[in-house]
Amino acid sequence: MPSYNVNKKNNFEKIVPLPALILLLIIFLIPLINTLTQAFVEDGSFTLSFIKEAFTSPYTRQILSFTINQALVSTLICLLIGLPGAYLLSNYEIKSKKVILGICSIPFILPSILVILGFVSFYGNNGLLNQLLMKLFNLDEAPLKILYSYKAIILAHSFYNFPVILLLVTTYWDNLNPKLESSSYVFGATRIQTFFNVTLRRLLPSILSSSLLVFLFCFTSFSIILVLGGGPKYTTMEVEIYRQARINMNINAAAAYSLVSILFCIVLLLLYLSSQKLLSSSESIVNDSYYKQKKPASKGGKIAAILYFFMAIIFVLAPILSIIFKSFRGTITRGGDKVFTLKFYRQLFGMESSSGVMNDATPAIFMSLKIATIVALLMIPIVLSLAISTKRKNTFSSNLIELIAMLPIAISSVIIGLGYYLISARATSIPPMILVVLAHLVIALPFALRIITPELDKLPKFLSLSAISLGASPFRAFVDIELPLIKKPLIKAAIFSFATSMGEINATLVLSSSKIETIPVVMYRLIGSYNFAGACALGTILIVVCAIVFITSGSSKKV
Amino acid sequence: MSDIYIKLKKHFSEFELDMEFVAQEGQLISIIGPSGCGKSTTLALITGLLPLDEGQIMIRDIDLTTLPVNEREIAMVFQDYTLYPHLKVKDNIAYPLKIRKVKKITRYQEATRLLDLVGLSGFEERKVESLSGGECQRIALARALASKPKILLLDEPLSALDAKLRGYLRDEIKRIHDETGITMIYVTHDQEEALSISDKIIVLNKGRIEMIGTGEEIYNHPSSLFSATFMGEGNLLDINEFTTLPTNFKGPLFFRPEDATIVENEELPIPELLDYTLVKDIEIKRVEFRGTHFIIKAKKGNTNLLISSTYKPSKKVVSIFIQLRNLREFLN
Amino acid sequence: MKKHILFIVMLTALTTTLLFAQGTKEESSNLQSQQIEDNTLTVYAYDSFCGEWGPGQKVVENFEKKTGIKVDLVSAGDGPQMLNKVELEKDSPVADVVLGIPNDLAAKALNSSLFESYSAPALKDIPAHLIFDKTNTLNPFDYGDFAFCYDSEKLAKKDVPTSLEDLTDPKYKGKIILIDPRTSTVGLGLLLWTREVFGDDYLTWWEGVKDNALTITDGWSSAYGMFTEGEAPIVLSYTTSPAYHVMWENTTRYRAAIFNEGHSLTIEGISLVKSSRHKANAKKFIDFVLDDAQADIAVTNTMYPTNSKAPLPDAYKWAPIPEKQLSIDYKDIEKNLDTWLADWTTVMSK
Repeated sequence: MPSYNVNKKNNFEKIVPLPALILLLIIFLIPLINTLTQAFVEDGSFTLSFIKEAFTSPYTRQILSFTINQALVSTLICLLIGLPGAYLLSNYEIKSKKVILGICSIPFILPSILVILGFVSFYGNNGLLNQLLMKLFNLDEAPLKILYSYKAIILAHSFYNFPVILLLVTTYWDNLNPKLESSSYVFGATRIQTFFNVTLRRLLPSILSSSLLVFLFCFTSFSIILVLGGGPKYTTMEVEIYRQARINMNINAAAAYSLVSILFCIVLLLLYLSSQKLLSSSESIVNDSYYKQKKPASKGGKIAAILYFFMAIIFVLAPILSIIFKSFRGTITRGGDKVFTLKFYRQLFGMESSSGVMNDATPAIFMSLKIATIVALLMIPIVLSLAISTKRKNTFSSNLIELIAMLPIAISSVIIGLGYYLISARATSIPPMILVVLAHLVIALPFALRIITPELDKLPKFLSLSAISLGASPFRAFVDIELPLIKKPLIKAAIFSFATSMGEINATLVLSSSKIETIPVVMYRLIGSYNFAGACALGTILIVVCAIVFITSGSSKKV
Repeated sequence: MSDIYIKLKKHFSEFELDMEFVAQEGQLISIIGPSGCGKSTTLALITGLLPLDEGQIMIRDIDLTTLPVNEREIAMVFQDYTLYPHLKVKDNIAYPLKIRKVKKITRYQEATRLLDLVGLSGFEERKVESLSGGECQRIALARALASKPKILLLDEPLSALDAKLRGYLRDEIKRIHDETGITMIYVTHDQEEALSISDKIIVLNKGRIEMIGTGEEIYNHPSSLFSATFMGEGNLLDINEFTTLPTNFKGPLFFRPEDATIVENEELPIPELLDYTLVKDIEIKRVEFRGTHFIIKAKKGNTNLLISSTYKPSKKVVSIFIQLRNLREFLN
Repeated sequence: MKKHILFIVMLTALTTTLLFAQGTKEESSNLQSQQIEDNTLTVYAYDSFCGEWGPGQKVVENFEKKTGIKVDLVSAGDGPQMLNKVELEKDSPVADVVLGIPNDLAAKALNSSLFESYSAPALKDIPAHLIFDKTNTLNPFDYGDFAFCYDSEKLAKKDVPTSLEDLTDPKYKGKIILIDPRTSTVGLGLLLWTREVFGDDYLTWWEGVKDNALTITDGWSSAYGMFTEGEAPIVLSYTTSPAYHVMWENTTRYRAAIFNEGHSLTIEGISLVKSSRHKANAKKFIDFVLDDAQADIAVTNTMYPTNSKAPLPDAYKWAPIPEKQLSIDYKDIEKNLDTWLADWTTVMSK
């Protein structure tokens, strides 16, 4: 393919990623590098002993191999669950598509402690599922011992992550040129043959990219593995980093272990980036109405779709509903049985006084909404600027930019948390709110970028080039031509960022020195002071807010 | 008996497609019409990509109507090629054979043969993204042929190419048609393309067939004003503008540019002859030289006229005479 | 061109990092604290102490009312993070007082020489065994005892364990929720407790209890959440945990099992930062925390006040103070913790 070289455009693409890079630099790279350099310092002098220990000890090898093992299996299961859903959503006309996607997005925003409690109260030995089965079959013992085993880790990871696959692959699939499938049918291929020969291969970039995200999540997973897996039998790198940093207070060793895991993740990211550049196809956006038209499902398809989404929604909703259920149950009288009550909500809104640490949570709710909205709005120009600069390039610098932008998902939250101490200690004059917003932007950036880049890559080159030839400046051409074409994924990226910000806690706590109270912060406070039901009530509010945002933004996209 | 019988009916919110035609095996049939007339829809209906409301598709007494797309053995070349970007050229061509579980060696042999046929020998290992538009189109054609279809549909296959390449590929398609003897249905909006390669042309207008016939039939004996103006140029002039006319003419009259002869001195060759008529006071606006002839753009009253002439008129105001048998009256 | 920009960005990253590091050294000359006489004070405390929801707010309010000194209460993470932060700011001090460094971390805190000894008058009312730092650099302001709590509705009276040894009985199979010492201070508390009770044989106990553990969680929150969720009737927590349920939920269902062999202590200290420029104010605050604020801290922190004069709420009769309280010398901890944790991990991951 001839490479078009419009000088002006290159200039535009050169300047455009700078704001995003500066943001990454200040809020991510500097603190990160600062912490990681600790791996090479002992009592003020250079040493390689920590690195050597971290890279060569059999203990590291053992946990690294388990970390990879569980992440790989979790990713495969997520694919198995997520891909059929993506197939159904992008090939059939399903009226409640937005609602389904909205519901499936919820796990993503829930702090892991709440997910764990939701899981325990649904799948646990004393959980809803077991209680139901025990009642149904008159059993004395809980029949389903899912939790506290390897299976539970995979189950919880799937719950958390299959929506990532579902969402990203569906977005990509929706925009693939369906004529390629049509032509395959015309040549005599069946649906299945067409899927494996024509569709699957073209979907690979999105499958790879979403799998990579899932893999990295599972790689850095921590609470879920320990709590639901049953203890130290299953230990990830993250636990080791945590132990070194928090219990042993050996920042040097923690940094060294982080380096091991970061290097591993960088290799993965590089593999992925190069594979994606190779595979990215230049399919045009299709407007032919009847090729684009989705089939109303056949009877079998309909049943499959209903069954699938029924199962998926039960799978996703059950733990969530358990959380909601718990928020409405409490004792009213001394030693009384648990009954339906709104007392936790009354307490949250300051209408009823309760335990000494229960205050009005309304300001926290508004604070969360405010931060998340700002993050979502700021994300749009930032992610765009990065996406443009890395778009369809295979140069060293564009790959490096993309790698840096993706790095936040590969970094242990403990390590980046330590890095943030640097910022919060130095930047006392900057309002903590700004720091929190910036940190949320960095944390959400990889997801936003992953939503936008494949879409932008698919736009035919000549579209903006033709506009430039008509006299538009490269910026103007981008705004007029390419921007409207990627409006949908852009909104999706903003929503993702909103949700990420709503659920974020670590950076918020560290950077604001507890001066900013958001929903998850208050939730952790509640849990820390024994008030699990109160936390569930607040969690329910978080779920409802996000569900509303997901669903309304979903339906407004149609316009 | 005809080998192929096609009857299609499909209702859309904006318009309704309703057509019926027969064809012989081995023919190259063009469907021509302005954009939005339902050409591409027709192909989608024939392949089954779009379900029919009503109708029948028969090939040699075999009813294909209810068969799913992939069992109809009707191949199609799409306007935007639809080459698979992840496959090499040879794998693209061999794709229909792979579907039919043909052995790999045979597949690639066939791909090589077809590449020769479409004039792209040696392209086997090329990547799709390295191909030019014309090459893409020929690969797409080769791929469609690989499936050995009963009918090959071509949806404006040349519309994205430049004029010279279009002319060349048009001849190529005709040659391939003649060599393979495959039945082709060729959708285009380009009348010249249709005229030059078709055994039979279907003029489609707003979802309905205006006329079916050979190129000459449609050009010389159009059954409607639409067919007449869509296939070739023409003039439509009110009856009062003609000097002498037989009484059986009522409405406006149509004639082709080349059927009018310019006279500068009103020296009618044989004015008394009854099979001629005259239009006077024609104002010449522009004369264009076309190599073998001149095209004259002129005006009679408020009506624009297009006249073809073998010589360049010297006057600004002229008359034309037309043989009566070249005048055509379309009622409604 | 593009490469240049990237290069510049990377270069800026490096130089900025170096500058940050450099800045630390430049100022070191004018370090020794000129005292500033104004009415302000900066206190670092762990996260759950601060914020609108912690006891901090009330303590600070009362302190300001009493003394007129304006307090900036800063949440500085957990114990290790607070130490890190003060260390980072050594040369441009921000904090005057650090509240909440536990006895486990005493060695780190003392070795860092970040803090200054202050013999608060209130120490005379604090029992000697709670004064874990004899140099009075870390003054104890509250404490708790680790304990196994149980659900009295799920566990028959005869089944309530009376010693650590009891817990290795197979009848508790799948009935105990433990916490990982690698990721939680409460979990670490139990590890140290077993060292205190069994000495070098501590791993035998762990091997015995391993099969009885339903799971070993990452932190106290998930453990206790699972416990109240009914997943298992026994959980590692504090002796004070039942008091919460009495105070706020009116139930005595959850109780702490008291073991005759004694309980491991966790004591939180408050200390004066050596580089502070408001030492007079800082000392007033320390005095206040060790005396006037004791009752408030007990209630909202669900810990025992160290000051024996502080009144305990009624609910604390459900949070019995063990007769025997154990602790390991912090120097011992510092020396051996790594080995203990590694050995523990080996045993538990088998």
